[in-house]
Amino acid sequence: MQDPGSWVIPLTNPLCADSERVGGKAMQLHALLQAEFAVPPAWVIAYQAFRSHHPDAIPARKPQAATLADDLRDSLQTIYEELSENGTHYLVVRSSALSEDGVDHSFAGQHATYYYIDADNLAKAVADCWISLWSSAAAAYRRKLQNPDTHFGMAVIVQRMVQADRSGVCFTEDPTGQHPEHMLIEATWGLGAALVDGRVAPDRYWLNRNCELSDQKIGRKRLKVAEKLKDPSGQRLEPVPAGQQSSAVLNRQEAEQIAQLAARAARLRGGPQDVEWAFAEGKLYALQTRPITALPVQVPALPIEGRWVLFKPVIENFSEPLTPISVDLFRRILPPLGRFIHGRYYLNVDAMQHMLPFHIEEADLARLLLLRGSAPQLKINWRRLPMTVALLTIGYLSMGITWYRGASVPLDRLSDFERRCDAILADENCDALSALHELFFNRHPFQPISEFAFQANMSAGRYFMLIGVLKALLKRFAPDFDQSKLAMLFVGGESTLSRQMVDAISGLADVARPDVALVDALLADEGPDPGTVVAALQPTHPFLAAFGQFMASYGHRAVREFDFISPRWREDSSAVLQMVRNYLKPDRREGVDPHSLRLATEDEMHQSIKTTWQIWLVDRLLARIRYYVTLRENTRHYHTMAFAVIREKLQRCERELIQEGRLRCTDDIFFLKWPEIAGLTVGAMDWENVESVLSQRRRQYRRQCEILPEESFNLASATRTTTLESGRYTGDCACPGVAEGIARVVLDPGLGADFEPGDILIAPYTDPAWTPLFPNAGAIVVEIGSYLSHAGTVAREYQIPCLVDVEGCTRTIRSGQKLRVNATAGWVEVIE
Amino acid sequence: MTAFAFFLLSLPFAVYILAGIFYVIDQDDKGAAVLSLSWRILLAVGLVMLAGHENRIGVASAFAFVIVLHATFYLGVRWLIKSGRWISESIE
Repeated sequence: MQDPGSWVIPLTNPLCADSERVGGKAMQLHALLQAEFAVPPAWVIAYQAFRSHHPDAIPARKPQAATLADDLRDSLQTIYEELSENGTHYLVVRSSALSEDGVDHSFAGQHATYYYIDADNLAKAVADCWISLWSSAAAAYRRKLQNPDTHFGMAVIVQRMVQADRSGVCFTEDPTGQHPEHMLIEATWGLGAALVDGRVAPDRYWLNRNCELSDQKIGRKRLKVAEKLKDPSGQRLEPVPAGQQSSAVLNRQEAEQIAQLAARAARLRGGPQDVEWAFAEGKLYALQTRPITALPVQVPALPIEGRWVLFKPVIENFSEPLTPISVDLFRRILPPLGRFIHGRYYLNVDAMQHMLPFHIEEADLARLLLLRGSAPQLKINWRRLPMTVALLTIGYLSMGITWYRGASVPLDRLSDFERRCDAILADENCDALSALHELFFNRHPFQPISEFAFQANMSAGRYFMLIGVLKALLKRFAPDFDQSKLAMLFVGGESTLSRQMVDAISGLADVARPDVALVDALLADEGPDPGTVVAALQPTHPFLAAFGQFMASYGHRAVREFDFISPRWREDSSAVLQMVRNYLKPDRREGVDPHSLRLATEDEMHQSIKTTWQIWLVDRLLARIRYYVTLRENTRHYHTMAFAVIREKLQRCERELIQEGRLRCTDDIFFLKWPEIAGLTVGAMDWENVESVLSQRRRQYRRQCEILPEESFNLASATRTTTLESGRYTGDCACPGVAEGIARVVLDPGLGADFEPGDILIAPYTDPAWTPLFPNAGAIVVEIGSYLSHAGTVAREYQIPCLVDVEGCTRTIRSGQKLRVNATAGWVEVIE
Repeated sequence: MTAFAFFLLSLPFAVYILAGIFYVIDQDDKGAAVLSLSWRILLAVGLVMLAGHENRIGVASAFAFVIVLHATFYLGVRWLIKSGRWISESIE
C-alpha cells in the first residue's frame, strides 16, 4: 500500500505533486497540506487505476461502471478503516480529473462528488466517480472549451468527511464584479454541497486586500445539507430552522480568518484562488483550492435575432430570473408575442412596431415599452393605419364581448376564484400543467368572469390608456391644474386588497401589543426568532387566532410570487412576522388619510374646470380609472392563488418522485422542465437522466441571479444617465414629495429586520409582499418600476415620496448613508 | 347591398348587445343586469325595424357572425394552448 508505485497513494506522499498521476485537484490539496493548511486526511486512487479499469477510455464512448479489481477493493477497505477511524466518520469521494482545476479551466462541478460514503458503498462511489468523466455536463464543458482529449482521465480522492456546521467558498478576487479589488466569501449552513450545487442563496462577505470585512449581504438559506445524516436512506437536504435562515453564518472574525486562509492559498499557488472551506467544531478546514479561471457571472453571449425589450409589468415585480419550471409552464400560456431570455420575459419589438400606426423613433419606442418618462410625440403612419384598424376591428369583434365583461367585474365576486382554486387543488387527477390550463384559460364563456382572475387582471390594464386620456383632457379643460398632483386623484381605494393586507398586518401588531412580554420577545435583537416566539405561545393566545385568520386570507402570497419555487407565507411565515415586528417598533410613521387628500385634490381640480359637463366627464373617467386600479390589484391577489395551487401540485409530484427514488432533493422539481417531469412521472426517465441537468441548471440559475437583466436586445438604448455630476441619481416620480433619511437597502422584504421608521427604502423592485414595509418608510427608491407599478400605486396610497427606475441604486447606495429624496424633481442624492 | 350595409352597421351593436347577456351571468345584481339587457334588446329591435323586412338577414347575420367569431376565438385559443401550439420561445 505504501509502495509509491501502487494505485493508492496517501495525500501526504510527494507523488501527489504530480498532477499527471493524481489529477489537478489532488495535486492542489497536496500543496496545501505541505504548507500546513488544515486539510482533512485523504488518499488518492491514482490515474493509473482508472486506466487499468478503463483501458480503452475515449470521450466519445461512455463505458459501463467498472467492477473494481480485488486488489483495489482490499486497498479501499484499508483506507476506509484508516480514514473513518473504524466507522466513526463518513468519507467523501471526489473526482480529480487530469484536466481538473487547471490554470486555464477548472471543470468545477462537472464531475461527481459523493458524500456520506461508508464501507458498503465506497467501491461503487469510486467506480461511479470515474464514470462521471462521461457525464453530459462534463462533455458539454469539454466541447465548449474545445478541449483536446489528450488529458482524458481521472484520479479519485477518498477523504474523511468533515462534519461541517458551516461551509462555503472564498474567492480571492470578487468574480461578481460588484466589489473590485475585494475578496468574496460565500457561506451557508451545513455542508458546502448545497452552495456548490446552487441550492441556496448564500451569505456574501466582501473583504479588502487586508482581509478586513467591508460589506456583507445576508441570503435566505432555506435548505442545508445536514452535517450528520439522520436517515441514510432519506434525502440529504433538510430545512434550516426559521431563525437561522436569515441570520449571518459568519461573524467578522470568522470571515477575516477565512480570508486570511484564502489569501495564503493564493500566495502559495501564485494566483487568484477559489478555496472551499468548512468550519467543524470551531476548526477551519481547507477542503480544496483551484485557480479562478473565469468569472462565474459571465453568461455566454447569445446570438439573439430581432429586437426585444423587457416586459416591464413583470420585471418591476421581481427582477430575478424565473426558475426553469416556471419559464416552461408560463411559456405554454403566454402569447407568442414575447420570449424568455435567461429566465426573463421580453417583448418582440418588431411585432409591436408593425402593429402601432405611428412613426416612432427606436429609442422612443423603447422608452414607451419600458413605461419610462413621458409619452413621445407621435405622428400617424398612414401606410400602417389600415392594418392597425383591421386588427382592432377583428380584435373587437372576437374579443369585444370579453372587453365589455371585463369593464364591470363585480369586485365582491372575485372570491369565486378561490372556490375554483380549491376544487382544482382537490382534484387528484389534475396535474400542474392541467391546473395551469384550467385556472388561466380553460373556461367556457358561460362561467362568470369573476372566476377568471387572470382575464379580469388583463382587462384592468386598460387604465394605462385612460390615464393618458385624463391627462389630455385636463390639459385642455384645466390648464391651471398642477398635473403633478394627478396621482392623488387615484388614491383612497379602501377596497384594494393589498391595502387591506397591510391593515391586517397592522392589526396583528395591535393584537400583539397588549402582551408586553410578546412584544419584547418579538422586538428583541438577541434570542429566539419571531417564529419560535409565536410557536411558543399558549394555543389560546389571541395573537394565534388572529395570525391563523391572516394566513387563511393571505397565506397564498409570497415574495416573488410569480415563481413557483417561492415558498408561500403559509409555508414560511417569517416574512410576515418580520413585518409585524416592524409595526411594533415605536415612533412608527403615522399614515395620512388618503381619502381626505383625494377629496381636497378633487376640489382643487373641479375649481380649475370651467363647465359642468367637463367636470362630469372628468369625474366619470376618474371613477373608471379608480375601479380598474382596484380591479388590477385585487385580481392579482386572486390569480396568485392559482400560482400557489400549481406550486402545491408540483410539490406533491416531487414528494412522490422522491419516494420512488427518481428525485433526491426538495426543490429539484423547480429546475426541471415539464416534459422531464412527465418523463419521471411515467417512469420513462430516472434520476440518472436528470442529475447532471439539475446541477447545471441550478448553477446557471444562480449565475443569472447575479446579473441585472439586459433591458433590451438589438435596440437603441433607452437607458437614462443615472448619475449626474452633482452625485444625484435620477428616476421617474411615482409619488411626489421630498424626504431626508437614512438609506436602508433591502433586497428581500423578509430580511428587512433593520428597517426603522423614517428610513428610506432602497429596493430592487416591489411586489405586494413589500407593501408592509411602506408605511414605515420616509421615502421609497426603486431600481425597476414605473408610475403604474406596485411601488407607485401603494406609495400614493400612503403619500410617501416614491422614485422609480433609479438604475443601479441598490448597488451604489449603501445602507446607513444619509439621503435626500426629491421625488417631485426626480432625483435622490447622498448627503452624508 | 343594403343588407350588407346593415350587416356592417350591426356588427359593433351585436358585440355590445351580446355582452349584455353575459352581464346577467356575471353580475350579482341580476335586476340591474336584466334591465341593462332589456335596453340592449330594445336596441336590437330598433335595428331590425330600421333595417326593414328585406334587410333583417343582414342584422341577423351580424349577430351570428359575432357569436361564431367569439366562439372560434375561445375554442381556437383553448385548442392551441392544450395542444402545445401556443408556446413562446425560451433561450437559456
